[in-house]
Amino acid sequence: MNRMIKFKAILLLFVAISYTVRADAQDAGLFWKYKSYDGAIALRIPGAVTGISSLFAGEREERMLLRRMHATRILVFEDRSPVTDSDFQKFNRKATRRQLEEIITVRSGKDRFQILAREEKGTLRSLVVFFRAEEVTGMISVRGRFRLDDLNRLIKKTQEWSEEKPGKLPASVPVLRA
Amino acid sequence: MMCTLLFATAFNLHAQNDAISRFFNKYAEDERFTVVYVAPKLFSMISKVSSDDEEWNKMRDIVKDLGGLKVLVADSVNNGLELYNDALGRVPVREYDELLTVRDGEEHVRIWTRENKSDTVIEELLLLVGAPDEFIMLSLSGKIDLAKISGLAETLDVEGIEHLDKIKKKQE
Repeated sequence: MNRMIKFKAILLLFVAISYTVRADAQDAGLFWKYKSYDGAIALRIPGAVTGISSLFAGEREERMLLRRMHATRILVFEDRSPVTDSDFQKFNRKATRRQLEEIITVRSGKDRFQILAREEKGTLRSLVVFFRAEEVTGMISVRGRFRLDDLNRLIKKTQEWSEEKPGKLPASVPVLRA
Repeated sequence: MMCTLLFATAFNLHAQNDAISRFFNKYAEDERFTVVYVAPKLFSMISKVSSDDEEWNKMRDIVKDLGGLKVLVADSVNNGLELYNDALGRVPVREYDELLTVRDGEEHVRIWTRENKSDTVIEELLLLVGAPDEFIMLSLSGKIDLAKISGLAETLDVEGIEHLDKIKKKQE
């Protein structure tokens, strides 16, 4: 019996470590580096929270999408950002090693918008969005299993909503408050 | 002998494409330039997302065969012509066919295409614009339909892409 408990504990520890390591991998540690800086708005939404919030989603499409979100991290700096150019360059260098592909990059002067994604067998596994403008700098990183079919269905559903109720959002939009 | 010739041709083609990429990478982090890079994956994702929206489907139809887009724009420089000549010197003219040349005062516009010899499909389009205070380089890859390409200028809101309209005017 004791052996079983030990085994379960080790297994749990292993899962927790691998989860932490994998979660770090998607933003190359930027979240942890800057989350405690002055002026940082850092939000970490574990998969369990989105899983629970999916129960309150009215439409099947929303539920499916929320359930496929495993972990989300949001880091926003208003006014002054400590994130430097070398941080972005370091992240980009590491991204290829982490199988993250550059999807779109737009840079104008110091402003930057960048999306990176990791796809496995037609499923989107990681999505990292960086944005930097004069007044705001931020990073959103989402880990999950998103299929394009789910996105397709959600887009179609959104179109139906907009046709049914022009100018109004559906009553059951899930809202997560920090 | 044949093998050496094949290897040399392949190496030469790669090196030529590399020259344009190197030029792009050289200025990718330069703050005087605006950079837009759209990876082939985004175009492939867009082509998979279906919708009833007419505009979306029109865009989907245009981008479904596109490989990637790179745009480098400098609109407030004082050495636009110098940059243009530098880029011009790097264009592998042997591999590209000149599609269009426009010179209006001090503004130069040139568009080249590169065809896949086996199935005569345009697989790359390169646009260069140079003026004393402006420089634009646009490289579009994939299976390119010249008839649809001006539609891309209407669909994408990217600086410099409006010059693709000149292809439509040339065809008319």
